[in-house]
Amino acid sequence: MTAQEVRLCALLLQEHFGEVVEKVGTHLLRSGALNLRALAHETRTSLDLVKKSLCVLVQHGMCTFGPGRRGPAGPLEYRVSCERILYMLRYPRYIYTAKSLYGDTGELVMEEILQRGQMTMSNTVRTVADRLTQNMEDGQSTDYNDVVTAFSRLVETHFLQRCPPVDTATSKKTVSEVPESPASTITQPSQPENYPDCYKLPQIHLTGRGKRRRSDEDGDVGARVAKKAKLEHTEACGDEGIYWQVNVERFHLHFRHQAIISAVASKLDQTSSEIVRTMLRMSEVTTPANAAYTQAVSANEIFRAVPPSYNISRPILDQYLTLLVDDPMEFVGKAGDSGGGMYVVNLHRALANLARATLESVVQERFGSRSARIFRLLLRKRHLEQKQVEDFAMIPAKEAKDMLYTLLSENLVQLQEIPKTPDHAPSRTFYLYTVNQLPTARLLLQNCYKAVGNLIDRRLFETKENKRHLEKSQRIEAILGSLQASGAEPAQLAEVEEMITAPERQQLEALRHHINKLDSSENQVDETIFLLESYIKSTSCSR
Amino acid sequence: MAGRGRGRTQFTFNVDSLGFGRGEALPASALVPSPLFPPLQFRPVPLPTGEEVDYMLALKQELRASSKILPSHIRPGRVKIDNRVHDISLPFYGGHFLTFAIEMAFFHCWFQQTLEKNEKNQSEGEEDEEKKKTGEEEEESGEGEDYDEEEFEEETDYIMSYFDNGEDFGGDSDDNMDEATY
Repeated sequence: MTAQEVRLCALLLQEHFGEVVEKVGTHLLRSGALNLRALAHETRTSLDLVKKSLCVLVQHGMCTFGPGRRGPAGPLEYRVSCERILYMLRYPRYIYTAKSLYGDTGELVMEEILQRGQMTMSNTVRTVADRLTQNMEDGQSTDYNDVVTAFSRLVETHFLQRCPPVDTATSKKTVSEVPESPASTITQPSQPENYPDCYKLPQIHLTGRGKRRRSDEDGDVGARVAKKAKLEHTEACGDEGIYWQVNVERFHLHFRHQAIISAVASKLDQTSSEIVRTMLRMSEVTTPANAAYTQAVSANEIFRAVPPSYNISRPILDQYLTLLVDDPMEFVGKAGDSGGGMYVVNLHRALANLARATLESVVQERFGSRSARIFRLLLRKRHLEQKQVEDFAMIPAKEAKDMLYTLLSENLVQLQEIPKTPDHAPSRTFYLYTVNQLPTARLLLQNCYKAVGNLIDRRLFETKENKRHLEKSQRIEAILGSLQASGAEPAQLAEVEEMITAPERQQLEALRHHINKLDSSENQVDETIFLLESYIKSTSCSR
Repeated sequence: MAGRGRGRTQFTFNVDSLGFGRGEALPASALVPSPLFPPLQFRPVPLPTGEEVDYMLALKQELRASSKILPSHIRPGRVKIDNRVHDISLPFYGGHFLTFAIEMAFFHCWFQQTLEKNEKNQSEGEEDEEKKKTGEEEEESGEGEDYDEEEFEEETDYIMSYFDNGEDFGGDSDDNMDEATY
């Protein structure tokens, strides 16, 4: 965990879960694994609050627990996963993907489960049906079955998975004994993928329609009644104890495929991207996660699987495949000749190319196109002397030197010394400039984390500066809303609206505009973070 | 030593790469530290716009707002396990206690039961609280609790009591129409 990552995690925890969870979570991040007492003591928080915070973190999958340093007899130790907290930045993207694939119902299911961490199927179905009903016109309501269908489809395509049950210490025995054997300590949950029923839908008996919450009841009492009803709503639907969580890895796979397909579309054309999309879809289930390339598919199979709307004839398809294979980007490779040609999509190479394009574009936007030319040159030619750089880049010596030194001071370019003599005399040493893609990607990734941290900081600062204005405008809106609901005259409404002066309105507009910009930038930086993270992870896997 | 006189004018590296020749003026020395925010050479690229971007922006802001209301947002307020519970860190309705460590399982069970009890107490005590609010406003503790009841801590944007008291305000505003109010 780098300092920037910890800072960003702290900001995210504070925004979503409050100060207490932030304090506890950050301390755990910094100190690694701690047991409950030590954590409470070091953060100087009451044991109650620490327990609550850990509950929240475990619920959201950000904290795991397991036997500590003293072995199974000692106290449990808790560990927080920095990666998982940083995924919170990507929640809007997950929800939007679910919406584009499965419509509004899928979107709401995903939103509910992401916000609560873990939920049972019946609970989710009821909540989502109620929410959908709330937004429909009077008299209409959503049937539970629609929501169940959307939920099932999400599970079938592996976007949702069951939360793994907490392993017992004696789980080495046969499977049939596992549910029965009680243990003195409960160890950390096993990997979700190892659980055989990971994607099995439970049989639930849930019929009904969504309920619309009446808004004309007295607000508080209505909420109390609804809450009481929920608490007492223990009708057994047949899926007690089966909790579902979001399978973020599946979403990441989907995003990676999307990135590759759009890269092919922009480099070649729409049809080639369709072919690559077909190939990826066909090999989705058979390719193991983190594989360097997909399972080989034959040209015959591709021909059968390409959507008919594209009307590609067999020889044209062969030409496209040849084109894809010959492309210097090496998205697609040929793995054999049987079945009309066996083709694979080179996932890791595609990711490396995408990361390289990101690095080049960063240099271009920050330092200009000539510096970018030098950077690209060094990426391709690996090691070059200063004179060679000037010659190959066709840039006058003085400017080339300037740009090289700027890039060097920003650590985007490294200097490699090759001595001719053992005494490393400067006049008898080669000084070569070089760019290493992986360390540079890591550097930029840390810059991205810092950037997001700065964006969040700035947004909090802007909100705090204008807190008085914001509160006033919200009060006025609330008053206006209640006046309109109780049917006041337009004169009264105008009177209330005038309570905000014009310059204040302008200021509020400007504030809203700034906050929108900052939020949008966060989403944008997160896309870069995703690309760079995927690339770095892919290089560590292939070792 | 032999090179001291003869080699005095020789350097160990290629002088051209320094950027200035011999005898020329040295580059100006820095008198102040470099600026904190150095001027940008190139302006950043504008943000992408479009339906997708706007939708994700709206989603993000909604998520942020609703996460403050959820029970997983823990406030360090007081947890009074009596008739008036003012800490709103309610239990999470999805959590199954066996997924937590055993030391917290008991805590979670107890907590859930205690707060279920308080749910019932609170709904019965609602009417009592209304009366108490007006009666006990002099009391310090009463004031503190009123503050907690009306407004949550500063992080939330909405002051809850205003949603309830819309009708009251309508009555009052008739009297104060002539004065400037804020």
